[in-house]
Amino acid sequence: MKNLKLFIFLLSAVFLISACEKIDPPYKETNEGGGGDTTALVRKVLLEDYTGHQCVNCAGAAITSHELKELYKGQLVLMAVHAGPFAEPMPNTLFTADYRTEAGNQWNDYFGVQQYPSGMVNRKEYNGEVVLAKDKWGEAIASLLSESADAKIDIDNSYENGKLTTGIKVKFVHDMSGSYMLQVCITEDSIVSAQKNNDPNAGDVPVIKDFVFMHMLRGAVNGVWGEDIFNGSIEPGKEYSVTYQYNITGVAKNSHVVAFVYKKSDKEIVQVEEAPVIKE
Amino acid sequence: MKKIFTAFVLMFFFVPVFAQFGKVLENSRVQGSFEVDGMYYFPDTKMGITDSLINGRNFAMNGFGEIIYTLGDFSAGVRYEAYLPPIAGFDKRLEGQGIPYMWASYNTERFSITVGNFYEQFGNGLVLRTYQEWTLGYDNSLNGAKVQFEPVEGVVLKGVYGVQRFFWNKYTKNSRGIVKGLDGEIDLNDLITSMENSKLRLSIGGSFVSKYQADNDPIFKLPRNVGSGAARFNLGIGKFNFSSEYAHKINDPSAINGYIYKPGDAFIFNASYSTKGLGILGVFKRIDNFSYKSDRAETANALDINFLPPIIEPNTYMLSSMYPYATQPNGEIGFQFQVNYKVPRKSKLGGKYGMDITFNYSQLNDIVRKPAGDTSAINVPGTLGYTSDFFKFSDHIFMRDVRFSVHKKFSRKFKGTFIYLNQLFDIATIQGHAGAPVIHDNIVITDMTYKFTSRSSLRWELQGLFTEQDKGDWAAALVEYTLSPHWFASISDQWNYGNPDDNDKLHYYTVAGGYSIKTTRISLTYGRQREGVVCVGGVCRAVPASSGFYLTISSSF
Repeated sequence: MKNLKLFIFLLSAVFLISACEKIDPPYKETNEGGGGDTTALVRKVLLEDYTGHQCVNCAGAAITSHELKELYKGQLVLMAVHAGPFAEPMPNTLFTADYRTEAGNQWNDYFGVQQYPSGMVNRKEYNGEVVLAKDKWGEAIASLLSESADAKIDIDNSYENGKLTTGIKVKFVHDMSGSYMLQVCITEDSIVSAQKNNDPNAGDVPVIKDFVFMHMLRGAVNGVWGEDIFNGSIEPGKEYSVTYQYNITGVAKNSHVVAFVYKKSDKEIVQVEEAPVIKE
Repeated sequence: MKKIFTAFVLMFFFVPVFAQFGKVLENSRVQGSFEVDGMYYFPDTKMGITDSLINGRNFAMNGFGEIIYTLGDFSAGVRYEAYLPPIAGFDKRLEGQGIPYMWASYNTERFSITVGNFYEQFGNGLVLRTYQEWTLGYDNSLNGAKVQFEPVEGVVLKGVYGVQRFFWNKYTKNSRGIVKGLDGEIDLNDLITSMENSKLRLSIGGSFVSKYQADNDPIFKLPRNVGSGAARFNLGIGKFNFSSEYAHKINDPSAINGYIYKPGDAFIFNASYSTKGLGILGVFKRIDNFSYKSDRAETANALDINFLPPIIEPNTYMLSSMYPYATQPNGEIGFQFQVNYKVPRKSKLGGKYGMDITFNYSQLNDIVRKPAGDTSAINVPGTLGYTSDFFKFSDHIFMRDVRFSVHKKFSRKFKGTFIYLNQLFDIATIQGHAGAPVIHDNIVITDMTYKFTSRSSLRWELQGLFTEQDKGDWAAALVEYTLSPHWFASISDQWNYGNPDDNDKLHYYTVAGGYSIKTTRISLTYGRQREGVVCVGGVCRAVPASSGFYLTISSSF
């Protein structure tokens, strides 16, 4: 018995000593990630980055989402949702702007976001959590991209005198069942204002005075939770079309329409599409 | 006749069983403890607490009940917890209820095995410490198996294998890392017979811990197995005692260190001298890139495999706990020097009862970092990060804490404690208030107790915190009446009279009362809780401002 115990400990020791893995440079992956060819129907993924201009770690998270966009290109759609205490405006400071939206505030409360930056990838649970720390975004995205697409979304925009007309067409490509919602939002790039920061690699510390905010959620076109589009059993090829009109308050040439279809039951997004307000 | 025969047979078989069962009951021991902390929130517009902020969640409750059953060498236990919802300031991911902790253990003189949830510490905890701290809502227990084996007197070997608790999230494949560890300690005085009565007391130990976490990251090449090792000793020579531990960890890129690949180091050295009436303590500590979590993406107080001991003295008084130090796992270097002196009784200074004097100086700086060679900047993600000279102190001071305290008994009925603190606190680094200036403060505290009778006493505190930074000056007072052994009542106020904003010159008053009987204690507090940070052992949680009733009921058996 005594020898057996000793043997178990020696075996453990050998096992533990082998439990080290030194990584040699380069430390970054060299794969291209895919996502370049989006002419074919592929599953696209929405990354919502919950952020705020007074959040000192959020500039670093914007870099992470940008790196992921570089990696997955058109297969990844980004949306920076300014919500929570760090997004509140602060009078008589550099942070007077209010980038919060009604939709962003409600989503923030509904999904229980409490740390910033945090994010959701297709609002789908990954390793037991829906709201993910920024360093889990990449692996959560990677886990979804290989799946085939459930639906196709086409966006047809026209813009005139501050008014956007956006036509959305949703077509399911698989047998599906359940209730599905369509959400249409506006995002805007290149908004320049101050951002608190404690990461020298992301910019000036403690404030980046001219931070360039990208993919910022500016509003929901069809309400905070969108609208019902399908119920019950859905056959391949089933289509839903709708047209909305919306007043763009930001810079139209920097704005995009983001449309996504999600399950009503658990809010998981099954497909997302993005198109510029002014056609390129 | 058939019934009588059946009864006889049943008696024949079951009487011994009942007798055996009775014997088991007789040898069984059950012990346990319970606690319920409840909060009822009120809106308080002056503190910025509105109905919409409370959002209908006026009640919050943290509670637990723990039961341990022991029968001879066997023991088992469960702990039920409920956070419905968690009290403000506790991690919202705690919301829920259930049994997160259950275990069974078999212990003999030389061997023990535990399965289920368990706590363990190797040495000072530099490479492994799992523990629970109720006031922080912190629990990083391991769920798996633990074995302890003492092959000969003076040699203890331990092995652990499991996954850590992460709020209420069950472990699923790749959801977090798997931890394994081995520790050995040799006490030479117990092992070597000739050293049994030696004045020189020596023990040495070593640990190795490894975590496994899958690499699914598309950007970085991440090590799936990260090992760390530590060596330690404890040497006692007469009135002197020296102890030290050094730990090293291989590349462990994580959210905490910004995904750099530099190995980590941690070192702590204690020296002390103790004789009648005098104690001297010196501590040196250096931490370099030594956060060690079983999920590399986790940044909150969760899933820590190790523990980095603090060297700043803990504070319990209202104002001295205003600026508590949180350990900086990415790098800190510092020291502590403390002298305790007891002025003898019947001396000129000590008077009839003597006097205790304590002086403490603690300081923690940043470490010095230089580019690693693979990049011109430091801390660039996806590089080695930096290099650092082991003994160099950066000019950047995180915290300095100088304190002088006197404890004096004036008469059989009257005693007092007087404390002066001078602190430097880098609130921008420690609490993440980007751009906020470094705080320099002076704190004075008097704590007096007068005993009316052997059962009743009155204690009062007067405190002042003086600073030109942050929220400015504070004053605080507390009066507490105790009627032993059952009752106490207190009233206190913290007044931020020096706040630069007149609207924030608030009083944070509380009224409290409590009743104790044997091991059961009930207390009820009404008042305001100022916004702040609570730290235990260098691990901290933010506490938001609140107003309302706070009820605590605790008991053990």
